[in-house]
Amino acid sequence: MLQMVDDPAILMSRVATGDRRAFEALVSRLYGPCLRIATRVLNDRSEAEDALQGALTKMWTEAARFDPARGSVDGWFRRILVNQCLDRRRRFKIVAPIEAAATVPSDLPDPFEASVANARARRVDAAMASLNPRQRTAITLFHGEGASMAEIAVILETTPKAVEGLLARSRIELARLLEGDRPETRNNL
Amino acid sequence: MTEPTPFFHDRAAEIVAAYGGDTARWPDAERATALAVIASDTALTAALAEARGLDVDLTNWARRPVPFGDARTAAAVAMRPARFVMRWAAGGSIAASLAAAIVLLTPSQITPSTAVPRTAAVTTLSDETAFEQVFTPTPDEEHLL
Repeated sequence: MLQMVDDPAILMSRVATGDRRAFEALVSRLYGPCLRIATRVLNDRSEAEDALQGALTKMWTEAARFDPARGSVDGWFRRILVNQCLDRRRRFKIVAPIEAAATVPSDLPDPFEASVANARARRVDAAMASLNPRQRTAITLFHGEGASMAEIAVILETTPKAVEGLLARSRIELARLLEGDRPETRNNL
Repeated sequence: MTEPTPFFHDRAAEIVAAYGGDTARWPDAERATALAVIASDTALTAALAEARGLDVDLTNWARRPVPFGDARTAAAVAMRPARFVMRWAAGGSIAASLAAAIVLLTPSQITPSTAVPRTAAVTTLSDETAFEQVFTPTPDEEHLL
């Protein structure tokens, strides 16, 4: 009957009773999107997998702490995950390598356009690497997940106004780093 | 709608800087006023256009797929009984007991020449927190936890 259940809150209530299949169902739902968030925040795939593993372990062992009256399962888990990511950065002070952007897939049919898009992605990656993890978290959640300032504030345990400032400083810094680096076109070659 | 005041120029610039060029995501109460102020200011109009370009970069970056991970294994690992943790925690308890015994059995003549202020309140630590305070695993040991 589990396959009929799609409500994360119901799955979570079952996880709290030790239901392993409910946990597996939740993980299959959360894993992909959350691995992407962790990879963007940490700028390192291996670190991201470790942080996500830590967050999943916490979800399993502390499932009883989830309170559906205080928010969604997704929001609760994202908060755990971001904390894991930020804790890892604090503990190990890792200078993460920029993700291998040369392998960025492109669905552009034109090789020239694909090449330009990959070059641009590499430059954006390099600029992102210069931000701190909290800034990358805010950008990931705002631009990648469509989260509101209030939702990001809950995850980062701060105020919406502070998130506004964090995002503004991040975007200004990125704009400066990418200045004069707009994508090339055939016409301006 | 917020009243457009001379001060709102700065607020409009802040909104563009923080929220980017997608006006649907701007604060509802300030959207109309900000758009009116921006429409009458060439510098803000240019800033809005630039913000839209940056939005594309940031959205592409944030939504770029990552190579697929192994969710089933991750779930299995997460549910694995914490044998290592218990073993290490037990080791931590023994180490803490030994440390306490050494302190208690140390001859009283070895006392500090000056009084030690008693400032720390007694706190109750969870096993996990106590363990983290006793042992700090290296990155190579992290997978054991």
